[in-house]
Amino acid sequence: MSDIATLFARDPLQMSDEDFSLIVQKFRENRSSFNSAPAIATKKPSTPKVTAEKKAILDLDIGDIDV
Amino acid sequence: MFEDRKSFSNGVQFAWDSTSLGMALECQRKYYYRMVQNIVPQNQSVHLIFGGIYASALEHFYKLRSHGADLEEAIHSTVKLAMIKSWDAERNAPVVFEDDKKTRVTLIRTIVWYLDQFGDETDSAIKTTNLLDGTAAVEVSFALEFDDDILLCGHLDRIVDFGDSLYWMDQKTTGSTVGPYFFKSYEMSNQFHAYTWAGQVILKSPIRGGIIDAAQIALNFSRFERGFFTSSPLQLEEWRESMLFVIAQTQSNTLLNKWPMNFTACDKYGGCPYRMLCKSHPSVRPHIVESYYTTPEKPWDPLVPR
Repeated sequence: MSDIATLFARDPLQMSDEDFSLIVQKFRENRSSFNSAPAIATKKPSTPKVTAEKKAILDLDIGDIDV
Repeated sequence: MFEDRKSFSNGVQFAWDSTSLGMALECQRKYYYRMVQNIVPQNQSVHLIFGGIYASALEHFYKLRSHGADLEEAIHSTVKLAMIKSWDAERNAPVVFEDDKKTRVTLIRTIVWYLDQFGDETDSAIKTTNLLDGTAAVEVSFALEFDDDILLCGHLDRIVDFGDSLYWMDQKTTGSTVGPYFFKSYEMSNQFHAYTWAGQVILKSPIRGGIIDAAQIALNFSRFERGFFTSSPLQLEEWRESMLFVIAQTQSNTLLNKWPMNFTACDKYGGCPYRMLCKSHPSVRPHIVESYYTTPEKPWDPLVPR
């Protein structure tokens, strides 16, 4: 939005029609990306409980496996 | 004190609008400070600045469209107008919006997003209606006989045809989520009853009520919901009778110069702008007025059309 910030810092009476078109275009892009963005999940994904047995398996190093 | 105000005669207000009625209803002291003394806080509420520019921009859009302007041309012109209105020419800098959500950027974003969603009414069931003289019903200022020697004045942005019924249209902005609760808060709106009553008189036709387009302004998005206000003829008459009672009471208070405070209204709508005055000792109020309040060049005058 840096282009927008630059345009917004300028006196609108000194701006050209192209400048206003650019503002409209930027906000349209902004709306389009907002509408196409996936909905943000508000619920925390559940993390399965790690039992001591599973943890022992997960902590195994390759050297622990007798191959 | 009242020479510059057309809506006062012999120091008593006879031409009313929903704003002055609302103040008289809410608190007689508030009415006194705003309408009689003509003082306002030096720092205008961000909600009033934001909502005011937003409403006037959309009104400009519908006016252009009713005069045959192309959709894109009208959108660009509306954005330009809002950019100019939110620019402080004296400081040569943007108007300062002291709020996280309601800023100059979110204002322009909301206008663009709203017009992209609702601006094209080609295939919509909503159409601007015509006044009795055949002109499009946009920017309709009115001053109508409300009772003997009492006028009701105001301004309707637009009157539309929707589903074979007539409705006025109004815009509201909020930082909160817009849902059923939001629209419920307007069911007993004094402003909306006034619009409906006036619309019926202007068009000599039973207006069913209003369509309210509410915009939720969030940090990263704007969201819109459309709601309805309706009022039956009997309900409108009840409202009119209640308002005439308030007007008579306020006129009587004006003649007696008695301005009771309504202590239950001080915290409404984020706090009354005159709270600082009311809570202070009467002896220091003139100093507070001098330090924190100002007198607008143009006083609020319901009889002056926009």
